[in-house]
Formats: sequence, C-alpha cells, structure tokens
Amino acid sequence: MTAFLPELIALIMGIALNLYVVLAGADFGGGVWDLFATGPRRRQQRALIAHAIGPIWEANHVWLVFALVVFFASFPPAFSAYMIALHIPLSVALIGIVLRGSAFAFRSYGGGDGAAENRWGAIFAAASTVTPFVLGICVGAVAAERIHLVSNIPARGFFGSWLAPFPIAVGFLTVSLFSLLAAVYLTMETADRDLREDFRARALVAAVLTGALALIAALLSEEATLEGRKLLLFSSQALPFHVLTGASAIGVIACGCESIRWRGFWWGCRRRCSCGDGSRASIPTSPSRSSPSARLRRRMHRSGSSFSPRSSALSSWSQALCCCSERSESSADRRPIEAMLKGDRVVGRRPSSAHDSRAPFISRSSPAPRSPPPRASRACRAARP
Amino acid sequence: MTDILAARSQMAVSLMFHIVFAVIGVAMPALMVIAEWRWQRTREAVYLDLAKQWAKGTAIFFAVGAVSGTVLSFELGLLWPGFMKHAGAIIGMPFSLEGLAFFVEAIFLGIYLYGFERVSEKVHLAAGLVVAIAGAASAVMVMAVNAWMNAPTGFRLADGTFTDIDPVQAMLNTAWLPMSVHMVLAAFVAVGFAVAGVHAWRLRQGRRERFHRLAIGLSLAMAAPAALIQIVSGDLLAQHVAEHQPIKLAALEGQFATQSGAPVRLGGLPDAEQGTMKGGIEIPYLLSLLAFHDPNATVRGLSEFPRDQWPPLLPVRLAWELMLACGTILAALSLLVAWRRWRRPNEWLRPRWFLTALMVAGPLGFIALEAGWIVTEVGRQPWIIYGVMRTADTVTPMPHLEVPFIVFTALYVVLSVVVALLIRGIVLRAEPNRTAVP
Repeated sequence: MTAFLPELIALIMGIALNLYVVLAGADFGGGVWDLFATGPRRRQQRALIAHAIGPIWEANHVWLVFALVVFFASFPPAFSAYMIALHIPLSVALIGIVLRGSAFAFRSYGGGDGAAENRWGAIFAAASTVTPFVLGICVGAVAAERIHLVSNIPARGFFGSWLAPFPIAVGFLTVSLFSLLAAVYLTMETADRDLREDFRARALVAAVLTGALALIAALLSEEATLEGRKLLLFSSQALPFHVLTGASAIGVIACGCESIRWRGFWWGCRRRCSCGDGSRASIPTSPSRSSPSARLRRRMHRSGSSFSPRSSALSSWSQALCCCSERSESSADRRPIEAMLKGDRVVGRRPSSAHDSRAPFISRSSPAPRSPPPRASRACRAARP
Repeated sequence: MTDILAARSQMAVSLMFHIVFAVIGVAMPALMVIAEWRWQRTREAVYLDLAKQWAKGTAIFFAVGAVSGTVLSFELGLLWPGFMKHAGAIIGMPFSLEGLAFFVEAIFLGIYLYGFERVSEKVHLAAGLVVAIAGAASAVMVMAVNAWMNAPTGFRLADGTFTDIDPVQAMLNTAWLPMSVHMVLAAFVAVGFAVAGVHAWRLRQGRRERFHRLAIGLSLAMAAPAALIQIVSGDLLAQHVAEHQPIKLAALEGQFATQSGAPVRLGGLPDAEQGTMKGGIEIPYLLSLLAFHDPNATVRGLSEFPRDQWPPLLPVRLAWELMLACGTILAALSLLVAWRRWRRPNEWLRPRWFLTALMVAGPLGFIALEAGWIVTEVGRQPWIIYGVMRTADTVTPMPHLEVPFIVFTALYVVLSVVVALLIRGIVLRAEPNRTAVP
C-alpha cells in the first residue's frame, strides 16, 4: 500500500485537476464565447453564458485549490520548484482569476448602467481567455520537463522554463478545448433553436480547431526530452488515453453533425409539452378528482404542460422528462441569483401556502432588460410551425 | 525596494484584502441566520427582509473572498517556496480541512440562497447555520496554520530538514486555541459594529425606522458581548505571547531592558538606536501584572536578544496601540449599548449622538482586525517559523518582485473601491418603496 502511495496521491490530484478542467473549464470557455459573441444574437448569447455560469461561478476553483493543497502537502519539494519556475505564468493566471471572478460579479450587480456592464463584460471575457491560456502553458512546461532547478534557480531561466513552442501550443489547445466544452454544454442550456444552432456551429469549429491544435502540440513535443515525448505519445500507459480521446473527439463531432436528427426527436418531445405560455395547452377534460393519474395531470397542467391521452408510453415518459427538466430549468431556480446579482430589491415574501412554491427567496421586482431569454415561451415559439 | 520587502508587502496586501472578506464570510451568515430565526419566531416580515438583505451582502463578499483566497493559496508557494518546501507536509492537513470547510460553506450557502422555496423552513435555517459554522471552522483551520508558525511543534529539525513530522501535533499547537478564539470573536465584533454602523447611518438620515432599528439591535446583540469577551481572550493570547514569544511582547510594549515590575506604556514611540521609548505615560507594574498575573514578575527586554532577531519596532508598536485603542473604544461602546438598552428599552436608539457614535465606531472593528494581524505577523519577523526558519531564507529567487507587488496592489485597490460602491448601491437600493412595509 505504502509503496503505491505517491501514485495514489498523484491519481487523486489528477482526478481533482480533471474535475477542474471539466467544471471550471466550461466556465472559462463560456467567457471565451462571450469574447467571440458575434452575429445578430450576440446579446442573447452573452445573456445565456452569464445565466449558465451564474449560480456556481467561483465554487469550481475548489478543485484547483484542493489539487494545490494535496500537491504541497504530499510533494513539497516539487511544489516549491514549480512555484519558482512558473512564477510569471501563475501570477498572470491569478490576476486573470481575480479579474474574471470580480468582473462577473460586478457586471451582474452593476445595476443598469450599460456602459459599465459592457466594460466589466469585456474584462470578464478577456480574463477568461487569458487564464486558461497561461494555465495551459504551465501544464505544457511541466509535461515537457522544462522545470529544473540548479541551486534554487531555474536552469532555463524564469522565462525559458515555460516560454517555448510546445507549452504555448498546449496553452492554445487548452483555450480551444475549454471553448469546445462550453459550446457543447451551452447547446443544452437553452431551448432557443437559433441560440442552440449558434453554439452547435461554434462547438463544431472548436472541435476541429482542438484537433488541429492537438496535432500541432504533438508535433512540437519533440522539443521535450526524447523520453518525455515517448511517454507522451507512444507509451503503453498513454495508449488508452489516446484511444479515449480519439473516440470522444469523433463522438463529439458526430453528435454535432447529427444533432439535426436528434433535435427532431427532442423537439418532438418539447412540442407536446406546452412550454409555459399556455397557448398550446390542451387541458385534459374534467379530470376526476380522486385518481392519482388525474392528480398528476392536474399538477402537470399547473406547471404549464399538457397531457395528451393518445401519447404512447414512451412519449409520455419523454414528456414527463421534458416537463421535469422544464420545471427544474425554468425561472424558479436561476432567477434568484440573477436577481441577486442584479442587486434588485427584495419583494418576495414567503408564501403561506405550501403549494405555491415558485416564489423565489429573492426575486426581481421588474423584468430586467438583460434577463436571459425566457426559455419556455421561446421554445414554444420555435416549436410552432 | 528589495525583493524580500516586495514579497512581504505583496503577501501583506493580499492578506489584508482577503481578511476583510474572510471575516465577513464568518460573521455575516451568523447575522442572517439570527434574523431569519427571529422571523420564524415572530413572523414579522421586516425580519425576513433583513435576512434577505444581509444574504445579498454575504453573497458578494463570499464571491470576492473565494477568489482572493484562491490567490493566497498560490501566493504561499509563489512567494515563499522555501517555506512550503519544508513546511508543506506539516501544514497540509489544516489547509485541506480548511478547504473542506470552505466547500461545505459554499454548498450550503448555495442551498440557503437558492433553496428558500424548495426546502422546509427548518432545513433552510439549518442550512444557514451550517454556513455560519463552516465559516467559523475554516477560520479556525487557517488559524491553526498561523498559530503553528508562531508556536511550531510536531517535527524534529535535522540538518535543515524537518523529520518525524506529526501533522496532528502540529495542528494542536499551544497557540491555536487562544489565537482562533481571538480571531473568531474579532470577526463577530468587526462585522457586527460595521453592520450596525451602516444601518445607523441610514437611520440617522431618517430612513425606514423599524427596519434599521431592528438591524442595529440584532447586529449589536452579536457584537457587543463579543467585544467584551474579546478582552478576556486578548489577555489569554497576550499571556501565551509573553510565555512563548518574549521578543514579540517586548517589541509590542517597547520594553528594552529586562525589568521586574514592568510598566505598561501608553503612547510613545520606540527608538531602536537609543534603546528607549520616547514620550508616553508609564503605568507601573501593570505589564508584569497583565502578562504574568504577578506585579513583580520579570519581563524580558529586547536588549536580551540579538539585534537581528528584533521585529521592526515602529510598525508593530503602532499597530499594537491602534488595536488596543479600537478594542477599548468598542468595549466601552458595548457597555454603553447595554446600559442604554437596559435603562431605555424603547428609545435607546433615539438620540442622534448615539447613532453618530455607532456610525463612527463602524470601521473601528476592521481597523483593530488589520492592526492585530500586523501585530502578529510583523511581530513574528524576522522568522517565518518562529525560532526555526527565517523569512529571508524562504523567499523565491525570482527577481523584480516589485512588479507583481505593484500589480496586485493596484488590482486590490480597484477591487476594494468597486466593492464599496456596489455595497453602497445595495444599501441605497434597499430603501425606496420601503415605507409600505411595516
């Protein structure tokens, strides 16, 4: 057991860093797409990104801090060497993390002033792009075994330890990978067909770019020591990861291209749910008051959905799923943070009735101009022929 | 500016910035839980209003505090790699427990802020309570690290490396208990008086009488007892310092010569060259009495120690005086508050002078807090681990450290201004339309 302790701890650190990449990486990627928000729907794109990052925006740093603490508690000399050699890129990353987190909060709390909001938005987007870039550079420098200390001074200098083609390629790869992650997540964060299409296209572009950058990084890896390159590219330990990565890449691109078909299925489900504005709701006729199914129907009706008696078992299942997701995604759970972040005054009082559970703890008094697209009604509009 | 000074300044700026947010994260959840508990007991809507306003403030400070905390965890390594190289294994445990507490705090704060309509009232209140407890726990864990740096234990030093490391014993060092009690109380005092000050400012301008009155009542109910207990806690901590860090005590009190029946000096500046105090009033025997509970006890003076082990005398002395002054004023104000509430329960907040006093006292808690940290951190110099490792030996070999120092300082100054403006906005926005609410 103790013989494998270092490997075990390294595995734990690896898991924590992977969680950081998957969870916080998507937040960074959201910022990248905020920077590259283009086209007629750029305001909606930005609103969607803010909406998606909203509730959890800084908690994801916990994974980075956890990995860091495990690192210095378990491998202190290595930690010390990394911190000396990577002082500059890590400091830049820290400035980026501070600016990003604060700018996001300030943009949301800013309260009305459009110019200030744009300024904070620009800072948020720029910091979100620079931070993963320098973090990627650090990973690249470590992977290329560029960090050697000679009598406590980096052998390649304070710049040379990380300022080289391979680390920089890894930096670009990181940004691209995070953008890909974010774009894929964002397609599932909205019900607006056009926005979805925007992010599907972006995901495909990011996927191709990521592949190209990965190839470039692989080609540049020869500047790492021969041993390192062998380990990175051809060793038997690396093989499963290469296969997994390749399979995921193909999967993502295939899903992106095939998503038209999937969307057909998805919208099929959505169309049957009446999506909140009530216009398409076909209310079941006089449900009997006692039966549980009728109660379910009434509940579904209340939550803004209709129930078609003709639907098959499968479609009612998918319908129920839709409704659930609709419910949980809709206003109630995300509005509070939006309202809080907007700094609106509090109006909601706790309702006395247990049934009326939609009134948020902190609610918005008037619809804010930059509110995210009301999903349900948009979905309806999109679903209408 | 030398690199070591730049590194120390950068660390100081980062800590002084983060402490404000960390402390608010400890005490603000307690306030919002108290307000919500009052609401559940009385069903007066104004208490719920208060809980929500305070929750909103908590959310902003928590967000910025989370970011500045991330920065600090990196800066430990970026600026003091030598320290982390040797001590990382020892302080890893309290730091990971602190991370755990922060995680719990973040999760339950999420439940508290977004789960109001999804969980039952009791669960919601309990979630708030968990946030408050986890906040205090993370403060206690960070204090374990700092206490260890002041009273190192749990290792053996052999040829410049630490062996036989026992992280549990290191965590349970002698300074931990007095320091963490002092810190948590300081959080309650600083935040309680600051919140009372903000509400007193609005009340003085004739806004929303009842809302602000209740807010002041609740925040002072937390802060005033804490300010009085803080005197006892400070005494315990000072005794620990007297016993374990005699140089620090001597620097704090300007005690140059070893002396039995040493006096306490009020005011006065240390003159390191002459080895005397300039100005100030002496109260004989008091220092011996306070530090060792014996008026004739011998207090060791700075002259007993080599000059290169002295901390910077002037900043330590000034910060010490400032902390004591602020603490004394707040304790006196707490007594005044108690007396007024007892004698005039219905109109204890009526006179304008009293509101002005509360308003002026608002920042004192935070000033005392920052000064207290200067006392303990600068007072520990030139050691990073007291008596074991010198700060200068652990600094990063990276040249031109003044550049990151200037950049981070500018960043934090800008952030402080923006946060202050935002909070002002929240306070002001909380008010119009309020006349309708009872």
